[in-house]
Amino acid sequence: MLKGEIDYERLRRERREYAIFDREGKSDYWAYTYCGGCYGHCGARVRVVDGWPVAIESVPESDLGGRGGMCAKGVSTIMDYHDPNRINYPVRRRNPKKGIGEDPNWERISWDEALETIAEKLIAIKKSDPRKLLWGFTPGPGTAFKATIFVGGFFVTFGSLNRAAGGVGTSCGAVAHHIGALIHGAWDVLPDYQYCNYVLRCGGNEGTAGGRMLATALRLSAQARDRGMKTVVLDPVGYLAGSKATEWIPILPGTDIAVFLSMANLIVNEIGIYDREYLKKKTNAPYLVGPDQLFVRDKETGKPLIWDERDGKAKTYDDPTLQEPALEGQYHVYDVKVSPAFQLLKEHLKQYEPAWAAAISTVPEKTIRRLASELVREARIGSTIEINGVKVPYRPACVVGYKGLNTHTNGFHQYGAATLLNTLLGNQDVCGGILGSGTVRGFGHPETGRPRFQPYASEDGMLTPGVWFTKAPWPPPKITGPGLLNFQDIFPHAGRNPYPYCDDWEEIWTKVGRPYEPEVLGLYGANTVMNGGNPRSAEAFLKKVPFIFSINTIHNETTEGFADIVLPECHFLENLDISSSQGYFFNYPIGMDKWSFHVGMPVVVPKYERRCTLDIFFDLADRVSTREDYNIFLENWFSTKTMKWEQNQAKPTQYEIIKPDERISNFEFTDRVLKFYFGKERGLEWFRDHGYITWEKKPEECYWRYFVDARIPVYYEINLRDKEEVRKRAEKIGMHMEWEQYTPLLSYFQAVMYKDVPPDSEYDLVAVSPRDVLHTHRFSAENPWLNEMSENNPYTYNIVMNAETAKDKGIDEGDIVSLENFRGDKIVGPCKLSKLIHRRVVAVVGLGGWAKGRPIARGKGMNFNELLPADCRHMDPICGAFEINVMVKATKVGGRP
Amino acid sequence: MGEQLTMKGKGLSIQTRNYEFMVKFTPQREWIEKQGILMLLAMFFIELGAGTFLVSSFFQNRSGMLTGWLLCGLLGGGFHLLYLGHPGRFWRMLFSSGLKTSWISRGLAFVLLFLVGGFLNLFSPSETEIGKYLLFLTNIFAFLTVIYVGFVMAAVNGIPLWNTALLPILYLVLGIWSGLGVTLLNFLASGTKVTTLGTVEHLSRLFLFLFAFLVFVYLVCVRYQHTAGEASVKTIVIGKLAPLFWIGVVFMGILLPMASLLMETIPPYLLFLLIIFELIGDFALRYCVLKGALYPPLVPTNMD
Amino acid sequence: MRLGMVIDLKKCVGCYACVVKCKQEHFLPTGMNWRRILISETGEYPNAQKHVYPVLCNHCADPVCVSVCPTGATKRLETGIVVVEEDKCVGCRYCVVACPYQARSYHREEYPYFPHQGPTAFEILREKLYPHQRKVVLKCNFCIERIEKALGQGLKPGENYEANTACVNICPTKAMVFGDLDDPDSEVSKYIREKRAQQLHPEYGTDPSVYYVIS
Repeated sequence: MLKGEIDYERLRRERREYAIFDREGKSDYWAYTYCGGCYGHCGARVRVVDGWPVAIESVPESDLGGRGGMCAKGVSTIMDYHDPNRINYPVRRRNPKKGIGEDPNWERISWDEALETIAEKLIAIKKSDPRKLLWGFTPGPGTAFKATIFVGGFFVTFGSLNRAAGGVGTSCGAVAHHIGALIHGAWDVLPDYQYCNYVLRCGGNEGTAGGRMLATALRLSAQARDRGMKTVVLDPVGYLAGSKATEWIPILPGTDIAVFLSMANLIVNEIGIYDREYLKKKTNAPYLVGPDQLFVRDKETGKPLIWDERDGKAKTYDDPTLQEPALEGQYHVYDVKVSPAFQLLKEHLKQYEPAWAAAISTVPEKTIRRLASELVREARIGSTIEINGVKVPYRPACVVGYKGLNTHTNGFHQYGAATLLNTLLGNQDVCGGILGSGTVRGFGHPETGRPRFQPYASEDGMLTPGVWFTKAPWPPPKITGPGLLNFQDIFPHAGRNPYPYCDDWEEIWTKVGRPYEPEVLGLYGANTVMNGGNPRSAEAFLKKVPFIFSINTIHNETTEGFADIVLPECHFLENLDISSSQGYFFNYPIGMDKWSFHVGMPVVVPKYERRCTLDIFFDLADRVSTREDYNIFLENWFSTKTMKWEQNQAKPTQYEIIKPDERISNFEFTDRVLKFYFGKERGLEWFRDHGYITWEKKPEECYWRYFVDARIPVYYEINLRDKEEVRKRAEKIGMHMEWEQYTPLLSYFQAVMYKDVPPDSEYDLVAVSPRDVLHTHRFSAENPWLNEMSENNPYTYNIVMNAETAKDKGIDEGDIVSLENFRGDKIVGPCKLSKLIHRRVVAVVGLGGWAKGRPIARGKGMNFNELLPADCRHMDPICGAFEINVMVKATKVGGRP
Repeated sequence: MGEQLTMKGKGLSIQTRNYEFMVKFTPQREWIEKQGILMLLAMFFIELGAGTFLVSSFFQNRSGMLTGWLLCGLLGGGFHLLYLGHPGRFWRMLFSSGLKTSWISRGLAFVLLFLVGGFLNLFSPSETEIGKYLLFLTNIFAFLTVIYVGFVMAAVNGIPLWNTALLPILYLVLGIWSGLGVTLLNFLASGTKVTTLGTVEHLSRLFLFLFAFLVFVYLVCVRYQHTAGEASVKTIVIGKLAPLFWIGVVFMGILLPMASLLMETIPPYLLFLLIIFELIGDFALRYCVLKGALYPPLVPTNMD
Repeated sequence: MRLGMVIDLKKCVGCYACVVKCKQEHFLPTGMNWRRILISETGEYPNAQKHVYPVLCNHCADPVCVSVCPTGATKRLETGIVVVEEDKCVGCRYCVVACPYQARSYHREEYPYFPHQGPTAFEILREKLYPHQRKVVLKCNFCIERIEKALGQGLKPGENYEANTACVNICPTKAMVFGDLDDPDSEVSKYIREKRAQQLHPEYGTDPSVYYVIS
């Protein structure tokens, strides 16, 4: 019906290729793809009737997902596909005014005109200064989650490192991913559910509501619960993970750091049981530290030194004769008094007493002591287990957490302290412990050995991820700038931060000297004005960018308010997208679950003039003449030569998938990648019919710790090395931050929200925003089925408050309540009373919406981000984490309607 | 699972939001809200009509019998059919297994038999033996019609306010008491002999006291039956429905008519007004019973 | 044969997958759900407990809805499934009122999923694939079309994917087991015995076929 409507020859050609997904015109069939409802990317099969998807479930034989099971978000994605508000053609803004709530007055234009307009602007920028291009991405409804590869690759090869988190990245894993890289070589971490016996879960609801791996984690955690795995949840909110836990311990947000540091103190200095072998062999705990608190380095090689107790002398960390690394003591090297880093850590931890931690966190001292001894007891330090004939350490206890731990101004030290506990237990990437989840170590399919990747040791012998998705976390990049709009050049460990969507950006950029102005913003699937920090702060910046183009499946508050051109992308049900299978972002059959490789394929031929992600980017790259570099980027990545953004190496001499001068389409590219990985018979047509491929995992792949020769930090020397450079450059441009955090030993710092108001202030409640099981970011709010579920769920559209606190404030169940922060920002909504939330905390799911193009989402829930101050004071100085909590006061403004 | 509820705190814990459905006491909706009001009207007129016919027949008041027949058949039956999703399928209620188990099925049978018998009696009256037996049979069906709605509701074991033996008895008394009222109206309108009127009046007063007593016993017993029963009674007596209950049922329906007993003679216009008040009391009570009906929560829950 | 189900509340997290999948499988209109998630709390802070109960029609062995139905539209089949024959339903809603579990819904006139924007292709396909009569009472039917097709192929409910209800298959925590309660060796019967599963409010006397493992 729609063939004749396509007004672009290149697109017509693409459609001819995609005709194989038409299944020869069958009217009722099942097709394979993956689910785009959240980051979990469960393998999926979809029923299609008369060319329309009508049902979806996951694949029973695959370990990627719920083995047939899928969460409500995934099942509901069918309705996203049918949304009549989907964008079907490229559009241009006719209303020149930009701002929140503006009506863009879209007019339809051709692909040719749209891309020509965009290319013209990009070419001009490339000539003058590629940094004038700011770009960002976030997954939207059904858009490819591995946007980092296709989208990131395009913009990086274009020459701009001016990436601003499109939306979700701001309040997500700035620290978790960074530390995850350094410790696990992984983007995310999960308990080894099949073998773990004890989990201390803090500030994260994966397995109950957290959407990073939802259905897979749901399945595994339910099995573990059934098996008897004990979970202790330390969280201000108790009705999510806490409700399925063996024990819920309420804690004041952002104070877990005190608890962790005191637990580490107890473990090291009182209980005295921790994995010394692990510390000696796999961490930088034995590295010798001089009086200046930096590592003492070999004069010839510059490598950090370790004291060998057996030989009584200092050796480099990789000296093959090293026998007994010392963890304690004082020695002399190069006439300087030195100590192993662990000695310093032990002394340093003594100041963190459980009673002190109890006063800060409201967790009773007895409980803190109990948790420490439970963890140690359950970790069974020293034990081993045989998995498929391979002997690996067995540590069935771990500490895990996510957003609630790391998105604070003390996030680095807080998340680092949680990680330190795991390090002391020696449970990282061994059986039963905490596993890096994502592309960490894989030997590939047994028949081809592809795709293959693994972490390795680089500078200072430290663990370096084999695959990474944003700025490389290690080796640490040189500190340059300021010159980037996001200031990430002066913050070497920040993969993302809330800039430029902050109130102080203008002022700071002026102090930088305004070397250029942002001229173009390229967005992929993002809803920046809603998700990127505070909406008003984001609006202030977005209004000033002269030209914004965005690639989306549906309009949102950002496209309507600010975009000049919007390009229609295919919903995941129509999208051919190999990056989502390749990048194993969060989804990864963890532990000994089988490798399960699914491909995002159109279950129906795309309709109207919508195009697949890579098709759009190939087209754009052709027009701006970056296609060669883009091809090389993709070649490097998909052939596994270099699976990172930093591809500064010489061009590959052998091209396995795509040559620089080839102008192949997404279809051809995907086919080649699949054949490269799995053999000539297993191209797109094979995957169309079979859907996925699985193979057994080896213990050396998931429990890789003792099979990879690399160490992880316990002592963050790099913080000290970087401190002066960062501080100098930042202070010069007016960024006054807590530079004391640039210290090598994990230390206590108070999260900024408690400093924003005096202790006895009327702003006495901490506002938090946990993930709801029914929603992913904001985009799911447009789904009518999820909306119906939300209306029947007590938490989703309500402000949740402790019942006794509410009583003290004269607030009843269902009353309309206003939450106001110390700056006067407000949100208003109905109140739900609960006994499963800390007395001093209120919880709001981040929703709310006002876009005309998202009629179901309009007015549903509240936009939590309105409450958050966005500036450098509210940002972690090391990794750029945005402070996600704020002090508010709650006032009743109306009775229950 | 058993009873895991405690009534504490000031609230009655009644569902008002979607997510409280069957988590707090949940109001019955289908037979009172929006289109459900037709069901209330149907029940009211069916029982009122049959009760009027029964009483009028006892006092051999043919216009009363006709009034009752019309109220039951046209208004009551009409409202009931209007309420149904597929009124055209109503015949299935008679020719199916429903007749064996369902009180609505049986009720329809009673109503139809009453209407047919009543029709024959009214429009071709017979003074013969057969005619008398027919009238007798018709009256039995009228009686069953008056009481059957109570059984329909008492069979609902999910609603403690309804699931009591007292409800059919209350409804029976209600139907006859209201029937007495309409019969009295009919007598007044046609200007009948004082003695007959007097007997009707006396009976009416008797049933008034009986009704008041039964309402009291009913509410007290249900209150102790189940926490949902307690919540229902509280809703009616001190909660949302209290104004309607106290003004409509107690003041207008019971107290004012009772107060009139203090008068030596009641002028006809006052009697007329009091009967209207009694009918309002009837309607208001039925409304309270339908609107105040609550299901107990299905899940363990804090009740405050 | 008596088809039934056990729901393990220790595993269930209340993700709503079963509710939405049922809606999808049966093309249910706006506002109608054959399954629900009931969420409540008991106890006092900080030792309170959250209860998540996925509920559906219990397909009782002694169902109130069957006895109150005036037209015999609701009946209990040999498989134990309680179904509504839409052609016979007169729409009196007695069963909706009488069900102590409030598991039934009256199909009113509906508005489309995207109000004021007409029906989606999904809703148009409903008329072809799974039409529902208006103004009758509808409820969970244990995916009878799937079950009957599977039984016809000789498959065993609870053991084969195609012989399970859609909700049981879609559950990501595998909290539900479906099968023949009359067969003591079926997975569901074993699960009920081993985990000591209970019926919901057995005092209503309807003998539900859905059991719960309470944590």
